[in-house]
Amino acid sequence: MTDTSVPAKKILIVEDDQYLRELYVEILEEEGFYVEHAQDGETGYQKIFHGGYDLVLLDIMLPKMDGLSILDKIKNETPPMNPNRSIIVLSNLGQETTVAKALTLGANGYMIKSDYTPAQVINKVKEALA
Amino acid sequence: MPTSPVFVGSSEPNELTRVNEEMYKQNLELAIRNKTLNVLHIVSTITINATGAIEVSQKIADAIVTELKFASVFIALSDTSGKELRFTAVAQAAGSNDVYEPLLHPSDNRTIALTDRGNLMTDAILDRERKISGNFLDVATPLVTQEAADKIENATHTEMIITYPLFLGPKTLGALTLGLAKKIDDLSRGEKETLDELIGAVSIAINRAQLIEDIKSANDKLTTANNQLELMDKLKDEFVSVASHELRTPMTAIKSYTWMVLNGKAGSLEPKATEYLNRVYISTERLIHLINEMLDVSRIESGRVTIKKTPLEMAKLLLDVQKELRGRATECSISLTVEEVGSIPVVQADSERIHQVLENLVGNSLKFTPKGGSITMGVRKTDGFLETHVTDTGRGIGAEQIPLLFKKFGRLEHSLVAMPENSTGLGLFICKQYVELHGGTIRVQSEPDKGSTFTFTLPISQP
Repeated sequence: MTDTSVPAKKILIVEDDQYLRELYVEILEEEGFYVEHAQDGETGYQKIFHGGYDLVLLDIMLPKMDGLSILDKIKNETPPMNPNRSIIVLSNLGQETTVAKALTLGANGYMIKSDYTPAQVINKVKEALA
Repeated sequence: MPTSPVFVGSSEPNELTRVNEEMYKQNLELAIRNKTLNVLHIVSTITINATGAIEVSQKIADAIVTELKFASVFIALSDTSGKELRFTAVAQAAGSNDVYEPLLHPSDNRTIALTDRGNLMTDAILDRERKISGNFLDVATPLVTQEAADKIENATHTEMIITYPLFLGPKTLGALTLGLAKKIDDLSRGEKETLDELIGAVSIAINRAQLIEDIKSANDKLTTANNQLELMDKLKDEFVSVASHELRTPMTAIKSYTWMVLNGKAGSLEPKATEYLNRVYISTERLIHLINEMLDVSRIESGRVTIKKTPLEMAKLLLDVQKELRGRATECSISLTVEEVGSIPVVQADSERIHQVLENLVGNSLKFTPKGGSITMGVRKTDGFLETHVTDTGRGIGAEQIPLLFKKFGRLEHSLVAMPENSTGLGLFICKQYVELHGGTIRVQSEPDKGSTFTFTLPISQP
């Protein structure tokens, strides 16, 4: 099989900070992933609701709608039209209660951005997609 | 002639005429005693169920009028400052309550100054003795006019008043005034004794009620203060959390972009540029580490740290930390080893926190151990505890520094002496808190230029 016959894994990044968003998009595209992004909670929710991502990297503090509300909506209101394989929170909020809440609301993992170098983010993404 | 009884309603005199005068007196006093005991019992019940001083004073006044058949009873209590008196209770055998209004609610909210003589109550309090008068105005002045005082006298059929000061030790509580329906020269010995006893009981009842009020008011204040503190604590916690988020975001960008450049994502770098950028990267990491530690301290201090205990294999944790930090150790030409671990039990502990403690201790050793040195981790079982140690051949710690090590920022209050390079001074404080939250202890042994051993314990069986 050639590379082109295997569809690239689809990743969504919901991140409001332009610099970080562009950085994550860049390093993940470089790894050959198909990357979409959203810069606020509402757009993020629309995309997650439409679904079909192999992985969503979701920030918590976002304009318009926060990450926890997005998780809550898709878990407790209407499930996405197409399932998303995995949602990992990628936030700089690290309060235990926030982490616990995100995991209860169905997040598959929780990463504190500042703890990860770009290489470590790629490793985590690869682990999640394996 | 026998002394005419003050307590109306005592034994019928026509039955007593046949007994001698002595018997009559004794009987009379027994009757008084009996009634007094009864009223003492009532007062003690009021004491036990006391809620507020005003309510208690009213109940006592009612009980004295009902049980001892006085024409009227007036109680005035001292305010908390001990400077003025206010009437808090009036009871009478007959008549309308309206006449007391000027006493209970004087115009202009006037009070009787405790230092001013001329009022029967203040005289009784200042002289610490009971006072007798035939004019009700003597207790009511300066609250009411002679006219109003006469109205009260008439309404309650009070001919004479006896005022007792109410004391408990050095504390002035107020005064109790008994209104008599007829004029007398003085009370009998028996009446005096029993009334003294009653006044003592009333003082205790009122004091207790005031204490309960004080406690309640203090309690209310504490509850309010506590609620405010809780709110402020919550706000502080939110602030720290959000502020740290805001700080971490640009720090992440600096760290990540520096990493990108250092890792050749923007082309090759001159050696000097690499060196400088490395310093940017290291400093950024330090700053992120500081933010994380400050968050930890904030959580510890607000009591929000919860220890989630799960079975923890200490030997495995030592190997994990070794694996994690081996790279850094090798870079610094320091050997990082784990001692042979014998058979040790699994402990119940929060593996994430203990991991952080161990990582912190080894991290410190890495900072203060020169090239070619060594760091050794080990764990052993002692009496009821697992004892983990991190030993290095570093520069050691001076005896004068040891007491400061586990303090926040590693310094005494108000001291601005800086920490050794690369130290936030929070790490060991956090380690100590986490170990202690597990019921363990942390200690250090050190000799300058020879090295240090940090040891922490974790209880094996959990209570």
